[in-house]
Amino acid sequence: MLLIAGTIPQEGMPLVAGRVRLEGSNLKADGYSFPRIPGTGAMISAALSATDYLGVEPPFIVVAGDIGKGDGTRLIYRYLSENVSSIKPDIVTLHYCQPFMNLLAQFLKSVEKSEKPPQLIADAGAMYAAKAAGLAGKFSVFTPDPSEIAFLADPKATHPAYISQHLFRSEVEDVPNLIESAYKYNSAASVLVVKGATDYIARDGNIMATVNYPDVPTLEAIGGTGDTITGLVSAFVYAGVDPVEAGIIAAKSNRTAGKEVKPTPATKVSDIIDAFPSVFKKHLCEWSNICTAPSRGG
Amino acid sequence: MAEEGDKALIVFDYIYHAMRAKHVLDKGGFKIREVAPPVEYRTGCDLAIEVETADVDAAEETLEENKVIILDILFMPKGTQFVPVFLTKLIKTWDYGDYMMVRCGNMKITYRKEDGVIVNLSGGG
Repeated sequence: MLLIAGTIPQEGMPLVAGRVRLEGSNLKADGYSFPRIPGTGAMISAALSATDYLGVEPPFIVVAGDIGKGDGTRLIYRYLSENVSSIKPDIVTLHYCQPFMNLLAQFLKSVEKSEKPPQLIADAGAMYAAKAAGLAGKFSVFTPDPSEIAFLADPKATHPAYISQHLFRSEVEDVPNLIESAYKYNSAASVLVVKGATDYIARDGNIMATVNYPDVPTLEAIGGTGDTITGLVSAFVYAGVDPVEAGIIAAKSNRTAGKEVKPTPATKVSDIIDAFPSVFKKHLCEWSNICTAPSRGG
Repeated sequence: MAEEGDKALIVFDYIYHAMRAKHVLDKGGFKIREVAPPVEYRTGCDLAIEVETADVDAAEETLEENKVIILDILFMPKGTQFVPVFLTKLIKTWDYGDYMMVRCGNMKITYRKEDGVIVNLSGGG
């Protein structure tokens, strides 16, 4: 099972836990419908698009409304801590949430008690908490953007807003050095997929690949186009693809889908997600060994 | 007794209140600084406001008058140094012709120049 957890910026949205599916232009799980907006919604949508294409089970999602007050984040972590042992997910991807270090640590304790601990992937608030709490090493994959890799590379920072030096000095060309620092300070997951003008995929301190084509600068302005990479990486890893290869496929898929929709800065991320199936059909076999059946039945 | 140069820290449980506090105190002429709160007070996307100890009562009164909710006020040992947070220095802009993107750290807003309508939002964690 691929379990994806994160908050949705809707006040009062209850905890929703269940298999997700697409219904019209919205996502639906456990009888609750919500839009494919940037953040967790875009991430789930991208993962769902890939699992559908690969023929594996759709993600099991755990989401709740949170507009920054932490209420939804608490509901999600409580659910995960209480249920991870019985749900037995293969992969858990944690996404937008308030970066509560204690709740993440509590969840990871539950994970360690599991019969078969899942692989962990994180982005956004969950990644911030993992780094700030010194728990990054427990994760298989992080998917930071350039400002977030600067945060991971700063040993004193506990949130991207508090980066004291890197963010003021650094631009994109510093990403390889920031990756090196993040590993040096044990603030990185085993694999990093750094999303930016050039996408960097690194494992255990070494840059394994870069992806910079096709170059679609407009994607930078479209909210959710980093979230989609996290969703794609999660789905491909769940389908049995090595995390580094999953990062490369995700980066290429995102860029190519972006190019196909001929975006403007006002384009919605859902338009790009809708292009993924045709991108997979045209290019996945060329980019990987995924030409026929998936390697995991789900 | 407060000595000149002693600092106090006003902390909040929600960044909305911290940002309003900065606005209100700036407007009131207080000498303040935005800083990262001490680790034990951090919940994530938060800011604290450093003020002169001598100004604490007046600053608290001003914030109450403006309905800004304070979590706590901490009187810091002399010489305590906090990491300043210069939000304005983090801001960069990109011109896309009919649209403008404004980035602050890992957060981005894209708006249409013609009417100022926000067409895309991103980041924040």
